[in-house]
Amino acid sequence: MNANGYHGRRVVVTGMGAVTPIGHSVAETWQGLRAGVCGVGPITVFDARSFETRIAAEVKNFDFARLRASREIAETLDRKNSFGYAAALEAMRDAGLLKPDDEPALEPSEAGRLGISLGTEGRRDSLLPELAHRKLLPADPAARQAVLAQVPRSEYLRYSPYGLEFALAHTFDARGPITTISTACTSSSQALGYALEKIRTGEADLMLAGGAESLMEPTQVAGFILLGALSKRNDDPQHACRPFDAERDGFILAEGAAMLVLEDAWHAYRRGARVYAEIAGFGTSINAYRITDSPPDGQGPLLAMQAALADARLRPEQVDYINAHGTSTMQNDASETRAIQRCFGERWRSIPVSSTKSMTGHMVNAAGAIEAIISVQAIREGYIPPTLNYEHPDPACDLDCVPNQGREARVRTVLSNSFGFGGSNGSVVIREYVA
Amino acid sequence: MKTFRPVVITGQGWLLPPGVELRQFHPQATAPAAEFAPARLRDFAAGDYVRDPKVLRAMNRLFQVAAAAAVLAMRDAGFQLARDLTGAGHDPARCGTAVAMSEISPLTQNLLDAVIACSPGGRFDLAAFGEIARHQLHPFRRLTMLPNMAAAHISLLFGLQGPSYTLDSGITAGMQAIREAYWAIAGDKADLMVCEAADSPENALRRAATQEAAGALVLEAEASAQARQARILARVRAQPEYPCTAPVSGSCAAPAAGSLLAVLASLCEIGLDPPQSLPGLELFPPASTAETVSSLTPREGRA
Repeated sequence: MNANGYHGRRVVVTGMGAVTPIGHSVAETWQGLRAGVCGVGPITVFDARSFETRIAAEVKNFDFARLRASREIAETLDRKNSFGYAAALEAMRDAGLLKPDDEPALEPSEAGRLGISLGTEGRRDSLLPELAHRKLLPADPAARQAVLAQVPRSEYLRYSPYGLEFALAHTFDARGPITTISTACTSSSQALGYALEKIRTGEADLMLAGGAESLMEPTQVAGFILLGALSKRNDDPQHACRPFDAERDGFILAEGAAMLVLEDAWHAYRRGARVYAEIAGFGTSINAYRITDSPPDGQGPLLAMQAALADARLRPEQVDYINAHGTSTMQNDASETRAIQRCFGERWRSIPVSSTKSMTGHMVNAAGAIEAIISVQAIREGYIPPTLNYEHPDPACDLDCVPNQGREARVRTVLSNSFGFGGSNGSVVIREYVA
Repeated sequence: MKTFRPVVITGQGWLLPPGVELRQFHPQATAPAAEFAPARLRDFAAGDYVRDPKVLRAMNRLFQVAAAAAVLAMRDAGFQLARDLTGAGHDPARCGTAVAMSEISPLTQNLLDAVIACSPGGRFDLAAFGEIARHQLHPFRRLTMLPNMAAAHISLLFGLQGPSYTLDSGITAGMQAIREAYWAIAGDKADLMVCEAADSPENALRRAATQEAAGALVLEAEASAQARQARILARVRAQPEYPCTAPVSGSCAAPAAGSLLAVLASLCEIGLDPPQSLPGLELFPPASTAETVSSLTPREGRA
């Protein structure tokens, strides 16, 4: 086994990148969060007029042309993967792992020590409508199957769950542990947990970890509408996402990507890297309750939070801020509140808990990663972002949810929660790095 | 320095179509499974494994096949029902899942029908789709597309509440899932982990190339297995230096399940004398047992 032992290596954040509905970089996104900017508006990527939900948090004015990728890589870059690629470039540059021309700065001998773990899903729902629109779907069923069987390689890579993994591994010459995790809203939280483990066990020194998402496709939006999960406040998009508020009515689909460079602390020290914070622990669980419902007693989320704190060897009273999953659905927010009450005992009323989804929307597979970045920023900047649109207290969510106004505060340790459809849960502990 | 806990395999289950043998998935197989024509399971009835019709409706074929293999493995390990876990002294919060999934094609017949209905004259009408989707699309469509639903279903069946991973990285996902399960137990975050993986042409984008197959393993802390006097099939150890990129034999035909089937081939067909070394994993005979591993024959496991 590893000579350093399971907990012999500390893991730090040395680079970050983001593309979100409120900014095309970490700096822009953070600026937006501090200003209380809400990224929700009418869906513009397709004509959603006939849909029950017609609002979402889209990435606006993104310059896809600025991604100067090789032809082979460019073939994999659909909307979702483009956001992921841009965020990864920002994170790797930020960590000092790219040369000025964006070529990998690591020596080739170190390529095996750089890994990638991504939280994302393969999807190309729009392929059928696109084929139909281009009159490429024959009426005859057998002929239709033949068309679908001939999906071109580029289309397949854009569709497959590991298209982004392929693009990033080739671009950064990463040859260490590489994986893609698909656990719905928990995916990128688990990607961070996976990266943490790979560095701790000595299988890698550096991991690029994060997630990418875009669900702005008619079939995807229709699927969520059928589940009854989305807000229908089409006339008031800026106030549609209202986590923990008594009048919340569903979540807001969002798109974007977030990437972090995680690194063995000693490795970072030796190469003189700037350290933003430490990833101190990760916990995961599964509800085993119902397929779509959150457990009213918060049991699954509680187990994930407790496991993360135990992994970080921290007590609940050492947590200064919780970046909640806080989706703005009736069930999730009440279940998460119950879990926090059970985890934090007497302190549950006083610990600040905010949901930044009230500004970014729910980036689903990328949610855990963007909220980890926000947690790092909260520590660095001494600022707790607010929960916007909190107007009507809900007795089932009786938390200090930092309503509407952010707070200047000394933040040393943050617990960041992600809970997904299917009952997958993940919690990450991020703390100030003290060498 | 932390001491790693010994990990053993206490349950196995698999489903293969007629004409496909488990040993074809072993890394040293002379006739690898990849060379065989893809085939589907015969006489597979998901209701034999998942009794609740409401749950079955929320499962696509891939999830049904995966759940069936996991149920077989849990039965093989001595667990028929959720209460058997607690009865054997296991804490559900320390029992989890590690799942490997291949891509799930969104191009279902249900969606195809809706698209055709919205394409008068062969041209897709988005406004019509918004209306028609409300009535014609499967209400659980989104759920049948989520890879982690395989883990969700098996956790529901057996009350597993511990660590849960769903890996979706193509032909390496199976071995990564076994390794994550191993580390969860070795690192003292779980006492029991169910690993499962499945492939089905019905839910694959490249239907013509995919074998229908599923495999599952129950990994357990050796101390827990001994405490409940479980039959131990093998001791297992993850190789510390593993780039997580090495596929195993058969992974072309069954990209997700290939690695689990390779382990099962070693356990049940090839034997562990000498110890077997697969990419990323080593298998050893039990420390002491009245039954030699090479003489084990699966009591259940074929469709």
